[in-house]
Amino acid sequence: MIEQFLIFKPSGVVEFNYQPGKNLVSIANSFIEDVVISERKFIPVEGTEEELERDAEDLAAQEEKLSIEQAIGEEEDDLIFGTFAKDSYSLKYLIWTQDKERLFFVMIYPTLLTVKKPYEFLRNVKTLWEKTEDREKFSIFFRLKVEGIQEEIRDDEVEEDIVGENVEATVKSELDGNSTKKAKKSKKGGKKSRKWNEDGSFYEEEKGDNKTLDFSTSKENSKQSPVNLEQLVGDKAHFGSKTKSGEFLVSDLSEEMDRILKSDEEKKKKVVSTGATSSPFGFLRNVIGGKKIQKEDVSKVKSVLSQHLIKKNVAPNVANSLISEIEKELVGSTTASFTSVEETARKSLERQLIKLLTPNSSIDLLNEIQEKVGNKEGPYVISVVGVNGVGKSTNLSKLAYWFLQNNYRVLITACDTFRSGAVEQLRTHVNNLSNLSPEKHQIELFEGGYGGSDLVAKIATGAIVYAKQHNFDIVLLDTAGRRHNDAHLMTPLASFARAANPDKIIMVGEALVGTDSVLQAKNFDKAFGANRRLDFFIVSKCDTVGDMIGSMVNMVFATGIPILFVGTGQTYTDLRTLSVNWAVNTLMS
Amino acid sequence: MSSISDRLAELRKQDGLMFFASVALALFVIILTSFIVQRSFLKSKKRNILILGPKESGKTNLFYYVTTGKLPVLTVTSIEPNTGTLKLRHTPFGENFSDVVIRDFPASSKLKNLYLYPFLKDNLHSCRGIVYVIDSSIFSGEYCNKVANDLLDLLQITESIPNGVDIALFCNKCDYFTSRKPEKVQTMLEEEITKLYRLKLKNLSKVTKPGEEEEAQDEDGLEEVLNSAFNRGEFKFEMLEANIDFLEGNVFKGNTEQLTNWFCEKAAN
Repeated sequence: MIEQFLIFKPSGVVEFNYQPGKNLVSIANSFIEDVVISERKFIPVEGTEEELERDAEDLAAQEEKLSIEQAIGEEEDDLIFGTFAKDSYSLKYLIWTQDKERLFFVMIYPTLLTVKKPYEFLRNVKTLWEKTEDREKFSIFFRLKVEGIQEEIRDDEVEEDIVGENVEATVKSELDGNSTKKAKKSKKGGKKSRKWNEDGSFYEEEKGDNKTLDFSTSKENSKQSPVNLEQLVGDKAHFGSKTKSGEFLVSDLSEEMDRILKSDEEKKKKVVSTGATSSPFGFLRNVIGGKKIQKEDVSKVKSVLSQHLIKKNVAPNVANSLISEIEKELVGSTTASFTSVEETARKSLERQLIKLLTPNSSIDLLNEIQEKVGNKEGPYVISVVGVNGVGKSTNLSKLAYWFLQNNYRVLITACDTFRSGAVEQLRTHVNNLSNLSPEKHQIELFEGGYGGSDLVAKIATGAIVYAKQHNFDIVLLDTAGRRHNDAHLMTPLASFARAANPDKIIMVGEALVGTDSVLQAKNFDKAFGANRRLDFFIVSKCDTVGDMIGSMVNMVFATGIPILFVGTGQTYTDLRTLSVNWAVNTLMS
Repeated sequence: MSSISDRLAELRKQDGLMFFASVALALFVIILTSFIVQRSFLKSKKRNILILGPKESGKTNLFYYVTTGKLPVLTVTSIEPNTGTLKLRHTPFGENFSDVVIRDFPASSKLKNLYLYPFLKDNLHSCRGIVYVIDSSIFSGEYCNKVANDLLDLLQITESIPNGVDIALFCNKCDYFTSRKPEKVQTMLEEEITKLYRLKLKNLSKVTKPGEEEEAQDEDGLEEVLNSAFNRGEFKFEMLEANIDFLEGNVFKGNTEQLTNWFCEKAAN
């Protein structure tokens, strides 16, 4: 069943934790890492893209989508629903934004189980959380809800006529267990909610078994509980006097719950937006700051910013996705003092770009190479892929030059068996480099002539064996350029990656290309099969585009893969690491 | 004050419209100036102590412990920095540290670029100290490499001002069977930083626009900041301008005595 339910703030503090079994916080952490921090929700525009995705999706996923849509129903800006899966656990989440404050509702359960209407459940829990001031009471409500959803599933499993008895029986056994204090893990919550109203056992429980009450978020539980219990008694009086037996209380509590849920719905209808400029001197706030940002304010800025991004060569749908993120962030917030809405939006975009372009883990290629070579695990293999004419061979030689300067022995391998002159081109580079290198025989070319695609894998494995025998530290594989949307050309990449098993696969993309860079990056990322992805990008020809470096944003946004180097010229030394600050400043200028 | 009341007395004789207009103007000016003064005032007065470290080392738990005296039920990966004032119990200083602001920054490198580095750029001089939390129970070679990388980035910033920023390297979960002692952690880190620094010098420089040569030189200068800490090529924490203390304890069990003392020392100065 539901293995863990967490309500937490962005600061990382868990407000509410329902955890009948083991702690699955690692699942929640990877959810945060992958979904919340990386935040790359791609809004597809082209038809082809959607078709591709539809193919990949199985029926279950489609159903899920439907249920999301059902859950969302009417337009709600402050709620975001979604799903995430890892290690045979599913995670459903609800992000609730209120006055700039985000609150995360996360539900984790084994993938094998299906929970009915998970989003409705999440939404109900959120409403309960919103309306219930008393956290103690909330946890009782929550347990009731969980029990409800669990019983629903039990209903599914057992045949219909047995169901009634079954439920009754479980209720009974719970009540029995209540008095005999039988510890049944999954039903604990339900029991507690009942026993407080049986006047006799109520105090006994309190004294004898403090631990059973310890399911709230607060640490000072033992201090608080008497007060809360009194409040609960007060509630009982409010509801009427029929709460002697457990069942009645259950129904009353769920009634209260329903009332809360209903009142929320009614309230939603009544919400009328209030203007920001309703107060006197409101117009001044545009200048001084402290203005509450409305949707209309953002929409003006929105088009300006997205035009700006598109001018910088960012693909329109990437720009739109970025801007819609900003819109979400801005609406409802107030501007800082002495800043206009435009300025605030610019700042927000800048932050988004910094977040996007900063890699998740630090890139330290030399360290990795040193480790592998130092441990005598064979040569470090790097493969370069990309579309025709983006500068694969040139950037490969630049990499080789850098490695040579660091006193590594480099074997360059010509895996381009298609294009005439490809091997000769590499030989020229190798000749140049061996003249430039501090010692002779530090760099060699491994070639296998021209031929079909099966030859490619053979050459690659041959090169690695050769490098092992002749003590080369690094093998650089140069592949043929290929069109990313031609399946006939892309499929050999998978077998190539399997055969050569490079330590790093680097895609070279040019800064010149515009919207197409999104698909280039995506298709190359997919080409290596299910277990292999691209490791890095090298963005070439950055010197030719001036400040229009938007294709970097496109590629990183489409795949989440970091940029290793940028190529800034024709000579071997024109290779630089990407400075995020430089890139963002250039994009924003 | 007297001049204002004199003026008000005069104005009272004149017509009401003028009176209201001038009062509004005066109020506006007063509010504006107080606002500006308050802003600049706040900025200079506050003393900051930062809590940094790799992920899942117990930063948020430590933050809560030193700001509220309690531990949260559970924590997940933070995505926003935490801010609060220092509140230490059972110390001779009492709880008299309301001007010491504790900031807990998330560990994700994306978020560090977003929150931590801009913050350090603007507020480095008001930083009284940094608590760098590590999980000593899983301090393997790989973990050490990550920490060393992160420290190297951090030290390049903090050592750029005279006397640097004092750092307490807090070895969390010190009472586990697998935990490493602070002394061992220190030698491992020193070796790792030495190795990394040599590699870093070989690495490619960052991309800059033509005509931004000055900025590039600045970054080179930043690299040189740490050169004094390398004694014949070996990195030593003692050679840094700032004091680096290696402390141990376990936040999860409330065992933070060494750290509490460190906090008192930093906050008292």
